[in-house]
Amino acid sequence: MSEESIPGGAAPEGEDIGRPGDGGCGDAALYLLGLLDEERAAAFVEHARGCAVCGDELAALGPAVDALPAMVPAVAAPEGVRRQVMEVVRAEARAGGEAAGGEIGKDAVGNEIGGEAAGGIGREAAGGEVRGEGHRDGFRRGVRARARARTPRIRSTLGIRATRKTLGIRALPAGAALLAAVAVGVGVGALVSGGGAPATRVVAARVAPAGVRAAVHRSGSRAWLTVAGLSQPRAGDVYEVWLKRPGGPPLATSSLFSPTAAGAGTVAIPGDVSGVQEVLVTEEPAGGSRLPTSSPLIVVRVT
Amino acid sequence: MGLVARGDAEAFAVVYDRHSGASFSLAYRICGRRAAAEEVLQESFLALWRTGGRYDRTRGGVRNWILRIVHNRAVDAVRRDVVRERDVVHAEDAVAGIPDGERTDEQALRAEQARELRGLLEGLPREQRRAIELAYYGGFTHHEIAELLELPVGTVKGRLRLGLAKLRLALDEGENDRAVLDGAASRGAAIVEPGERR
Repeated sequence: MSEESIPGGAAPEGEDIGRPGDGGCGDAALYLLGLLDEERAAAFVEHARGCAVCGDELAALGPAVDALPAMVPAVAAPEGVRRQVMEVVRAEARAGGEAAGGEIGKDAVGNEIGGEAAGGIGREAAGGEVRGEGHRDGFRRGVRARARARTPRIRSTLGIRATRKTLGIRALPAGAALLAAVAVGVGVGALVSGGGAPATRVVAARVAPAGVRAAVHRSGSRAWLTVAGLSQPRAGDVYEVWLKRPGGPPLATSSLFSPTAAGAGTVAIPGDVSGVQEVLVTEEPAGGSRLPTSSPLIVVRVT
Repeated sequence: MGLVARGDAEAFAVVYDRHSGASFSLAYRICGRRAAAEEVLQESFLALWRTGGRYDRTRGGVRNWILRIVHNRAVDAVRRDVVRERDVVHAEDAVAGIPDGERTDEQALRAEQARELRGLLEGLPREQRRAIELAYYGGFTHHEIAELLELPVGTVKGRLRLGLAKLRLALDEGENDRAVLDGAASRGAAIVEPGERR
């Protein structure tokens, strides 16, 4: 088989095969590989519902894409990650487990979030991680999955997931975050984990709006921020996490978030926090800023 | 997954233990850096814990579902990396593999399966394999691949499609071969390698 023999394959003049308005006929491979943007993925889904060729191609190529993850060499998962994950999981389970059963939040535009298995193309807008997974399977069963919007990208999160476009949030259960914050109290640091696991140090905010509790949890070089009682940012805004080292300006992180309706949430602080003096939170325009445009609402002194 | 959906942390631990190895391997392959892969693993499984109730078994196995979550997270991690130090990390470079002597039977089986499957991918024409690797493991879009390889976008798309189609054929042939061997074995036939004496 040559490239030229594939219907819709390599275009002789190198033009893009799928054109606006054609529904992306021939884009099954791109779709399965998660390469289509929101608009084109949705258009392709719609198109493929009525296109036998694309439906067949999805069915034919899907197993090949599914085999790709099994081709990577085995690397042992670090035990430390297991401890950290299970620490959070057990804490959430103890806190009532309301998140464990697939609590579904709503993002800024009312989409369900938290839907890894929701079958959405759009892992961000759908809140899921899955770019087309449900559709791939759905198509194999007759092209019946529903398109989901896809927003530009997802920011680094642990408990909260935020996107540039919708800032869809998936937070720890409010109870868990509240417990975490209440347990330490403002301005108090504490070691909260034991039982042989690496200690997690919790440092509460020294500055926070009235009624807001915030704390930074550190385990080794990793850290995450929990908030409780935090109101929603203004429309079009988002909270942004900054790291400040001694003598330096606040540095932007990729952590943008909005709390749940209950005002709670947890957000990962990306990268190595060694040497960080303060973790700051400011309110910024959606998409975040490179430099703070407002005074910090929350200041947690971590060293 | 039903227990996980109901908030059973110990059931989740079982799921984690069963799938974290493959998940980390995939994340490491894509991210190329251990720290980033660890973050992806952690984020993915916490997301999984919080959305376990959304798993639909009619849409495929748990492992595929989890690996898609991990893949998407890993690609996001790579794409949001400002430095974008992300050319394809060749398998042999990316692996701080598990020493053979420390592998469980299951890990050894998986490693063997991975080798076989990689052989199928490596059997593709180089340009098709490269396109697939860049797209799936590298997190590049087809437009980025076109720019990187200085090719028309249509050509990249064609290579992706053709490569996947050939890979599917190779997978099917592999399964057929195994079925033939399994069938022969179950009928008590002796399978003799060329040159081997009965």
